[in-house]
Amino acid sequence: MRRRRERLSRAISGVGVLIVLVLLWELLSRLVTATGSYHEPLVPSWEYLWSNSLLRMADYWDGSFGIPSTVEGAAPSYAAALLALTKASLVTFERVLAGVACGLVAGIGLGILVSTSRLARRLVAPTVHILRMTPFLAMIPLFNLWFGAATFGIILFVAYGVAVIMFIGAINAVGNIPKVYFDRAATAGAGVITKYQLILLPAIVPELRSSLLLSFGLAWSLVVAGELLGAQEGLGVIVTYALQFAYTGRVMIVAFLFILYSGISFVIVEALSRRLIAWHHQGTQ
Amino acid sequence: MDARPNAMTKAIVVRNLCVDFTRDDGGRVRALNNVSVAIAQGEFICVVGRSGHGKTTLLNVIGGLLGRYEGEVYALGKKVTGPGIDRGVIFQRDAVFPWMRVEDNVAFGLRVAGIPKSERARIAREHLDMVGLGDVKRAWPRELSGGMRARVAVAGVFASDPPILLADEPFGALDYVTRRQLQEVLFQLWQRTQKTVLFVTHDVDEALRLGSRVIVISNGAIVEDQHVDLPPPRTDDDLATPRSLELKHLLLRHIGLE
Repeated sequence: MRRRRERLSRAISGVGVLIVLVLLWELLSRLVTATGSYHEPLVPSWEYLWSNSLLRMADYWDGSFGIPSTVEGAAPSYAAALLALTKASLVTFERVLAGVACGLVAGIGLGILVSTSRLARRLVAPTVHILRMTPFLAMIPLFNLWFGAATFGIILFVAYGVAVIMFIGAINAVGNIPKVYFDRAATAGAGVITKYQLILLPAIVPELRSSLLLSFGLAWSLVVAGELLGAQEGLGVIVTYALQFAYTGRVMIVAFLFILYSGISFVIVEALSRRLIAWHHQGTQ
Repeated sequence: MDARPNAMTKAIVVRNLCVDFTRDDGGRVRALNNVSVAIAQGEFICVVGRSGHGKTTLLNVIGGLLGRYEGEVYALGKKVTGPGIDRGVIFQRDAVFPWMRVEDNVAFGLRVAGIPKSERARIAREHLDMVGLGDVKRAWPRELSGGMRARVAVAGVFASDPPILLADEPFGALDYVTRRQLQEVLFQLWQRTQKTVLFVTHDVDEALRLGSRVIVISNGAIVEDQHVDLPPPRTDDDLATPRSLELKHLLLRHIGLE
């Protein structure tokens, strides 16, 4: 009962803050009337965002499914705008999910390997530690040059960022497993595979959870960064075009979408991972 | 002390065991110095001594958890080179896996041994009933008290049915009442199964209550080896008899308290 009341109170205050922010933005849009090079307001009002910026997303629709594009001379429509955003979102989703999946496997795998093998520690650890100290964004040009600016290169870039985060998380998580668990497994006759399967992997999940949530958040940033440079499709590409004409409203709409998607992915990953660690103390909080 | 036992007829044989540890500053510390002891099958031997004097080191060597040692150590006639399913261990630290439900924890050794699921569930249930935890078999360890988790550890090691049981101060962190209850549980299980038990404790009363034999380790050496000629099970009254008090004083003297 008390928990439910707390949750309700948190939800009410969250909605309250949101309403205040919306109102403040509206106020700001009326106070700041400056416009960009194509007469686009630098701080667009909500009404402008809805009736102009969102509608003009139709400019990025290619005309399939029988909904004509503005390039073909059709008037912009909300249907074309929503289809354009949906298509770009799906492309970006694919890159995020594939990048996160590859990054998780690579990062956790390497982290465990380095934690459990002296040879791997000597061979792999210095390279990965240098990579983790390199700013992610500084690596974009290299990824573009090596793997191209299309989907493959962007997926690899996201995977790289996620892998670095998960690598560090996995090393810490493995290092914090009490030795007594392995001793107990050894005295019960457990072999190497059993120790990995029944001890190491379940034991690292709670600590990896925060890295997982962090890496999902990072993945959305990395995918935008990757798409800003030379990609042909995706939400980041819309932002690139919009920036060229100082279309603040369109940039904002894509930014809202990213906030929404990263929020939804956070909630999903949080809920799924919480189920995985029902045995852990935090699982009941 | 029988320093030349036949390794084939004894459950545990330790001959001239020396163990050295390296300190952080590079210096060497001798944890066990020329220790020899033979433990008969079915014996309940308690090892007492002060902290840091080598009790746990001896247990770890016999359990195969400490690879580097000088001398000879045999368990059931086989040289100890590593951990094995013939030597179950109840650890000093809480070793119950928090990610496994109580019954899965108890059945862990059986699962590793490849026992079918239904069979190991039956054995786990049986042993949980024995230690009085039949009602919480589906609970997570975090939902149990320290005493209950200690019971899970005891049930788990008996469920795997190793001929030798090594217990490293398993009840040391528990309150007096819980400790007494668990001593009783362990003693009853030992009486029923007649396993060979090596029980490390710093508590002389606990050693006299449980052990058929008590050895005292001081500064890495066995300084006393006493058969406890008091009939089990030993009540509080049994431990207040002149013979019992005589034994207690003898042990305390060797530990360095009197």
